[in-house]
Amino acid sequence: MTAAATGTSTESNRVPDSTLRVLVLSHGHPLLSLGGAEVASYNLHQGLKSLPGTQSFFLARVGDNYPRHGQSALMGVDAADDELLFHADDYDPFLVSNRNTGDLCRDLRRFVRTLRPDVVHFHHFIGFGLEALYTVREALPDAVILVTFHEFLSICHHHGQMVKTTGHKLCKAASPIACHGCFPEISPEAFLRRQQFIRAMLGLADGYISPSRFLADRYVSWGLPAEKMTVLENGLNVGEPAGPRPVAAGKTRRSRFAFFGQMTPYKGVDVLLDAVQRIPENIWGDDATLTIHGGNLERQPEAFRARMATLLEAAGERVRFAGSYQNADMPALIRQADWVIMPSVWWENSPVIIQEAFFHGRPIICSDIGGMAEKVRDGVDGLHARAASPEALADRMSEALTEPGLWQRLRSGIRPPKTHLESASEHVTLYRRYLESRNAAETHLQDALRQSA
Amino acid sequence: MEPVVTLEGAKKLPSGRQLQATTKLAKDDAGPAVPTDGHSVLYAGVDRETVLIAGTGEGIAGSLPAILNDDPKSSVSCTVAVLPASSRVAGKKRPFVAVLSLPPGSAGTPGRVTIRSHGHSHPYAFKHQAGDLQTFFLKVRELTPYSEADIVDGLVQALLAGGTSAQALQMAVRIVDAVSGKDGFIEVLGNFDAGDVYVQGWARGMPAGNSRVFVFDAGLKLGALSCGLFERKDTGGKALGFAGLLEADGGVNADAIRKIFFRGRAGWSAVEVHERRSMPPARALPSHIRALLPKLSPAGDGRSRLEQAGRRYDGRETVSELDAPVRVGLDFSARIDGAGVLLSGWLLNPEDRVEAVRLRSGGASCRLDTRWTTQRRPDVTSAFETLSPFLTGPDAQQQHGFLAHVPPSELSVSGEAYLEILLKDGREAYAPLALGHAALRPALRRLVCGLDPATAFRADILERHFLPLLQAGDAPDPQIAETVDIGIVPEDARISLVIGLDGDFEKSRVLLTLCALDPSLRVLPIVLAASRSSAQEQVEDFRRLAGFYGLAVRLVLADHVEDTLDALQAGVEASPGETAVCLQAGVLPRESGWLKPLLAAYRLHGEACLAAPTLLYEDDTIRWGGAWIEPEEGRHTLAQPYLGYPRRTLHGADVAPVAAATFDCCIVPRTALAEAGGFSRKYLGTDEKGLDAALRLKLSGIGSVWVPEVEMIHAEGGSAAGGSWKKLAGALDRHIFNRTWSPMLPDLAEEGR
Repeated sequence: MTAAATGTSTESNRVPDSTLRVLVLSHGHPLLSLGGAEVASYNLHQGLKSLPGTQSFFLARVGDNYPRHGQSALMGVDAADDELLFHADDYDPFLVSNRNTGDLCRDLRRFVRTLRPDVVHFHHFIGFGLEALYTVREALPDAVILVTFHEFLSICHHHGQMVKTTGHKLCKAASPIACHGCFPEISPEAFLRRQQFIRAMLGLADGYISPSRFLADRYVSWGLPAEKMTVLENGLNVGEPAGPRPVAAGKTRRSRFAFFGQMTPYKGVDVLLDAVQRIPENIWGDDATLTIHGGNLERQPEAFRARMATLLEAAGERVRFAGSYQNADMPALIRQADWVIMPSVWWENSPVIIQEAFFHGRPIICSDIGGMAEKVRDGVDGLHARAASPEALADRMSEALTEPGLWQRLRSGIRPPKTHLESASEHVTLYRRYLESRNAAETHLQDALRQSA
Repeated sequence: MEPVVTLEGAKKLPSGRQLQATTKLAKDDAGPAVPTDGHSVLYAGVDRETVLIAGTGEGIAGSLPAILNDDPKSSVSCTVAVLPASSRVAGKKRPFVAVLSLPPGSAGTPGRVTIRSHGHSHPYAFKHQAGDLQTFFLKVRELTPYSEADIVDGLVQALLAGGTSAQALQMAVRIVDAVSGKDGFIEVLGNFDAGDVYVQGWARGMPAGNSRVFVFDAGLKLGALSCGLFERKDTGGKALGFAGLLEADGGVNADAIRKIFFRGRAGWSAVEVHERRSMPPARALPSHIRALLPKLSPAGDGRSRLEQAGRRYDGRETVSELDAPVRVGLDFSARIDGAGVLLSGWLLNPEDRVEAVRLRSGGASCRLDTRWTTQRRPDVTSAFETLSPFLTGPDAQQQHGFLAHVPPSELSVSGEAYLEILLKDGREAYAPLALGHAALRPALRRLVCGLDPATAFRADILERHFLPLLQAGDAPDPQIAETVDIGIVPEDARISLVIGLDGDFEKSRVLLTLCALDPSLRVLPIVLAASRSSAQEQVEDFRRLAGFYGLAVRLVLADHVEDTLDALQAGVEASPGETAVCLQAGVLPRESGWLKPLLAAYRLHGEACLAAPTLLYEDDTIRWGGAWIEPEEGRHTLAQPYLGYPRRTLHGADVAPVAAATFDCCIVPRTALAEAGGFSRKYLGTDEKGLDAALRLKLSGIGSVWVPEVEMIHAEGGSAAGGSWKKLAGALDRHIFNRTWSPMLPDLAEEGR
């Protein structure tokens, strides 16, 4: 941390025009873990940093196999003065709770008190645990605390996907009894407890942000106050858009499909591979290919890996499995593709892949549910296929391969996605709004906590 | 001087030898015989208090009153045995022998005895004394064809004809002892559970089969011995081994036996217990007997009885060896603290071969098949399908399961216990029981998970087995063992929040967090109460959490805590302040800020009430929403009209007094619960337990008030596997509650709401 980042600024909280200091917390650092949420939170940090009048600090959680320092939970990031890691691994995933309150008190509280940010933005609280919210609230009674949701973890114990545990059916609403149906070994009583605990802890935040309307609506139905919820899309931080794939003269068919993402069962790669097989030979031709860019297959359950192996083999030459990739490789990889396919069987929130595909002008074929259906407009900048249906997906892919001019038309319908700078700027506007209303009306909760702190 | 006494005048004193010879001569020839004059007797002393007399007489027999020396105050008991006359006795008079029991401390031999019979007096003078008993009998034998043994028998019979009074028995044994020779030894003896004693040894004249014996243990007993004989080469052919079963009036303890007198061919004899005798325990006897059986000679009853004894319980399970289609299995057997024995199992008896089933322990037994309730056990049928054709098929019954409760008043079980199955053909088979030992609740829980829930909780089964168990068992009140203060708990606080915990730490920490986030709660001292065994290890976790959230917490660890209400009771006792806000671990607030309206209602009623909110299930239906005493079909019941309805049914309802509230969440004066006697120890769950306490509070002047504006959620806890237990506990608790309160509800209703 540079001296500029520290220093007292107790008065500056109240004056909108002076420097706004933000602390962005993420459940992982993009250098170490490849998720969309990590990337989004890091992009926000980069964006905030580059805006005049705004300072940003990035604190990412690490745990499990990362070697912790004995004395402190804080650890460093290569060549970055405004980034730190926080080691936390005594974690109860059911309650999203951190049992190691000692570290939170000793290290997190000390850190935030030193930093004195105006805004603490939890881009996730997995791994940190909800107690981190309490720690920050107690340490900084005057700061604005915001939470961004990336999936339904607070609502759903099944990896936050709101997909049933049996048969991958989609789930519309949680209730203690319904959740018990997905997890028979956990009683409805325990789910009620989980709900009350998480809701009460989330109540410590001043506001919530969701990158998609779909997700926001779900959280409001679950019980978060609608007036505290704002929809703000995350921004992309990519260099130059890749131009369209060069095609040889005469062969105008846009027949290169690509999948980007983690190889979890929710991403629907098995549906995609099944669909590929169903496309008749005369339609597929000899120029069409599907390239799978996917990491973390080795982390999936045995049964799924076995299924993937079988499907890959059956797909034969139509499919190339290219393994995992780094975000930085994306432009080069996407250059080789015409279409991006997102066959997820879960709702999806606001996948970075969609933004990236649009940034590079690639139309998207995706499932017709959740955040995908919101961000991709059927017939305008992409095509919808019924979720979890290999036949429907095969049909869409066949259309893509046969309908003349479709690709061109869809490509021209793409709206350029938000940049990370645009997104950061929107966030700043939101931050300042919260700071103003906080100054205007002190709430009773803050008073009591401030007194007891 | 002339001699005064001439040598001719004085006879010479005979020498010693001559004296002896003279005496002997006196004995040998004629000597004192039994007088036949009908009014004098020959007598011989048995011991200081017992005298035998012999004479002739008419009309005297059996036990008769007699007096000595014509002194009416000097009455003695006299037993006369009449003997058949030999040719020497003439006329109607018959020879007799009689035994007199002299009063203790009487000096010398009496002179006369007068025997009264049928209104007549028969006086006899003590004429001649026999030198010893042998002579006495010898002389008697001059008048009767009976042998000495017969004569003694006659006496014994006469003595015992009047019943076996201790005195008669003693006299009989004295006589027998006086004439008995030592005939052999008892080398092995042991008690059976049934009370009889196995004896084994050798004797010269032991009769085979049944015989009457006298048993000399610490006292004297009349007994029956049934034995068989076998060869004993080590006696050089002079004696035979005997083995048999001895039964005595009033029972006899094997290790107290010293001697047994028996009537052999030659007369009365005795066998003594050898100082190096061995005493195998009851379980070892059957196999010992079985090993001996082949050596026994086949004659007589003794053998068959020993065969039977050889089949007695020796610790092994023998039911599965039966060639009859009878099998037994135990799923649950336990001795419950102070409440008797509870058994659950099955008996396969498709062809109705079983006569009786008993539970045995020590020497006592209790019949089970007349008291148990049966249950369907199709699993047992299918496991033993091939055992009998009557097990399968359309008419086959499947009620093999049984459930039985044996209260301690009927059978006191100590040490080992076993089942005895008596077949109709007389055979017996046994099954040892592994009796667990448990407190009531854990035993019931364990039992219940093996029962068929569809049939196990019928009203009659509850009444016959479970309720008596509950009534009998009596758990002690919760007792505070340790108190740990975390943070500063102000003693002058007026209100404290008291939470009764169970062992589930997750519940506790979530509640604690919710308290920390609610500004009206975090300022109160929080008392967390739990059973010492479950919470001891969590003290540090509580300390950490309370410290993190900055709460003042008093942790109370107590013993004899079986559920959250017991814990609550201990917590209330240890909490500061006059007002206790009570909460059970499974209860969660629906919204924050619930304390204020509840407290307001409490204060409005003068702080002398139990103020309770609506309780909801996790699906927003009503778990408790007021309860009133209503008349229904001639009785009064505590009705909850809104139970199970959606919560919006209560929209707009006002604060109202009710008959009783649950203790899930409430505000009460801190001392009220203790003053009403605390929670009852008889309930298994917490619902009726709370209502029961609320009714008792009402009786002591603290009525319940319902505050519908406040809603708390109490989810249905536990797993699906605990369903049977919940069902049982619920059914039993309702039974007990109704039984306790039905008589009083009409009066409570009158007292006004």
